Parts: sequence; structure tokens; C-alpha cells
Amino acid sequence: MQEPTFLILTALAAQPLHGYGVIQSVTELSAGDVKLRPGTLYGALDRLAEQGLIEVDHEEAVDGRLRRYYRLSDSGASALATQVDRLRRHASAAEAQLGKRLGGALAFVVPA
Amino acid sequence: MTAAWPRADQRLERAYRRLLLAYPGRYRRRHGTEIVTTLLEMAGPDQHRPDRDEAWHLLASGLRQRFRLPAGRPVAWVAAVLIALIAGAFGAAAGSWAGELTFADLPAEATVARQAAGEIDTDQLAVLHDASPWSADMIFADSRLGPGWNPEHTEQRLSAAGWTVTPGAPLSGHAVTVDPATGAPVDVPVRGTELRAESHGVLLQVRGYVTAQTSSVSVTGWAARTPAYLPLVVLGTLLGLVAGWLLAAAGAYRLVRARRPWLAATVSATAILALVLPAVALYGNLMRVFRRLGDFGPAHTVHSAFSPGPYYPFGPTWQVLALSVAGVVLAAGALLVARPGGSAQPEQNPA
Repeated sequence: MQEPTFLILTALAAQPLHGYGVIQSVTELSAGDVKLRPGTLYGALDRLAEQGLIEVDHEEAVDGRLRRYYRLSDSGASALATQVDRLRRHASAAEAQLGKRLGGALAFVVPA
Repeated sequence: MTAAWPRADQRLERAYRRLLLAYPGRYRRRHGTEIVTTLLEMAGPDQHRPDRDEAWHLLASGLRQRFRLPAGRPVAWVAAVLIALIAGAFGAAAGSWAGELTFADLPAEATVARQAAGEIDTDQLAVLHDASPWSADMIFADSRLGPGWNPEHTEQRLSAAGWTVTPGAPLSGHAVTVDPATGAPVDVPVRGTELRAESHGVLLQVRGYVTAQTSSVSVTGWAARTPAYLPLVVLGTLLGLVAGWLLAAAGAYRLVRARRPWLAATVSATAILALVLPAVALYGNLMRVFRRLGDFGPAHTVHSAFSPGPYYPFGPTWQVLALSVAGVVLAAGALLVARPGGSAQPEQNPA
């Protein structure tokens, strides 16, 4: 799962959002690291809807304007949960490896 | 809570709508107004036109969308690869056809026969215009003359008619006749000469054979390949591949939302099957075009596979053309059957 996809699913996990809402939420969730552009966002939304990971919640239409709200589907929620587990495992593995590196460095300074 | 709707700047909205034309129509109908709303929500208060970066991003996203296939459908990928390859073959044929239009026109067979052999009676002349399924057209003219044909006279006559003649090379020949008394075969001494001639993009190969009793002069003529030919074939192939993929992508989305998807899929599969033999024939010819560039003789062409002839050692001579026509009709039928109707997703009207 690519980072923008992960963040879009994350943004939709708490509540249904429309396009601009997703963009704002992703910027917030990634602390400004990921700024989605509309072309990327709608490409991803279309693909995620085809895969059944998200679905249309409701629409608001006024005078030639349209906000379509998307929500996470059940299979989207489980795909996101699986990805969260995976990332958590990888993060702890990385932390453990870094800890060994630090331990090794100390062992060099203070030989047993 | 609904956030405030974005204020409409007419110019900016029109510019966004124009950029969205890069997207496929079905996608624009479904998401166009939604994307424009988002773009307007993101726009600054004084923005009247999309910035350059934004414009390129939308164009690129739209084009990428045209090449996309529906997610999670491996059969669509297989079909798209096949359709792209088939369309590439037909593109190569179209390029080849356009390339052959730049070739010189062939002269009439009888005219070159008389230029090579002198005045002869029509009943002593055999002519043929050959359209082979492998190469460009060629002409043959075979003249039977009395004894004593002189290659120098032929050379002079061709030069006078405007041909640039390469002087004759001796040909070894062998003729056999039957002894009228014993019925046994008898070897007859034969002298042969080959000339080559060129004029305004047409090449001639003239071969004359002389025995004690008779002479024969045969002329073979064809148009030389022009420098425009190969680039047109390559261009046609590439355009065909891209067009085939775009057609497959559009067709796949149409099929997913068709009222009778199974019927549309069956007709599509039949169309692909019908087009396999023609496509293989066209690719065979395409390979010959590039592998036999140096051949002395008529240029190998791709679209010649449509000419009636024994391209395949089986089936009727017109099968490549007939299967092509059948395949194209079936493909059009599949698109018609897959016309939208059973869509579960509502379409939105663009404002």
C-alpha cells in the first residue's frame, strides 16, 4: 500500500469526507509532509472505490457544485488495520535494530 | 456542518473544465463537477487561472486515467495486451499502405516489354501484374522473339526511353529440346544476358536468352522503396499500439458497466480470435520488411498480407482480409452491445 493510499484510508477512517476534506485531513495527519493534489486524489479514490475499500456516503449538490463524501468500507477498514499491524511490526523491528547498533557502539567504548 | 461553497470565478472554472478534457468522457461525467468543486475550494481568493504546475498535473492525471484499466481484473490486462498488439499490427499496415503511396507508379507491362524487346506482336507477349501477400506489386512481361536477340539493342532502346541502364552480365542457361526422330532429350546451347535499368523510382530486371532457333526477353519491374516508407511503418505501429491500449481501456470500463456484460465480453473475445490470424500475418510481414531490407526485388510491405494469396498454407486465399473485416465488425458490435445502461453508479450532469 502506497503512502498516499494509506493516508487517504486513514483520513476516511474516522468520518466520511469529501475531496477537499480528504486533502486537508491528509496534510494534517502527515504533519504537512504529504500534500495531495486533486489529480492524484481522484485517481486514488476511483481505484479504491473499484477495489471496494471505500464507498460513496452521500452527496451535496448546489448550483453546479458537487461534494461527494466517501467513507471507509468494512473491507477498507480491515485493509487499513492489516497495514497498521504491518507498519507497527516494521517500526518495532527497526527500533530493535537501532537499539543493537547503539548497544554495539557502547560496548566498543566500554569493553566488558 | 457544511463548509461554505466556493465562490465561482467564471474564468477559472472554465479553465479547469477545459483541462478536464484530458480525462476520458465517462470519468468526466462521473467526477468532473466534483473535481472542479475541489479545485475551486483549493484556489486562492484572487486566482483567476490555474497555475502552470497545476495545469500540467491535471493534464497528466487525465491522460493517465485514459490508460488505466479497471482494478482487480487480470482478464482485462490480458485482453488489453492482445488488443494493443492487434491494433499495432493494423497500425503497421496503415503506415505501410501510406508509405507505398509514396512509391513510383509502375509502367504498363506492354510498354516496358516493347522498350526492352522492340516491336513485337501481342500474341508473342505474356504479361502479368502480380500483387503478392508479402511484397509490393510487380510487373512481368515475357516476349518471344526470333533468333538473334542482341542485348546491346535492348540497352540502346531502354536508354533512349529514359532508363539508366547497368550494362549486361552474362547468364548461364540451359535448355532442353526433344529429338523429333528418337524422342530423346537433347541439350541446346543457350546464351543469356541480364540488364538492370532504373528510371524515376522504378527498377527493371531484363533477362534475355538466345538459342539457335529462338530468343526470349523477360522484364520484371517494381517500384523502389522510398525513404519515407520505414518511418511511416514505425510511426503506424507505435500509434496502433497506443490506440489499441486506449481502446481496450475505454472498452473495459464500458464493459464493466454494460447492461449485458457477458454478451459484450463474448463478442469482444470472438473479435480478438478473428483478428489473431490477420495480426500474425501482418507481424510476419513487418519482420520481413526489416530483415530483408537489402533484397533485390519488390519491397516487402506489411499491408500486402491483405492481398489475396497463399499467405497461410491453409484456408482460402482471401481469409486474411475476410477475417480482418469480420473482426472489425465484431469489435464494433461489442462496443455497441456494451453501451452504457445497467450502470449502478449515478452519472452527474456537468454544469
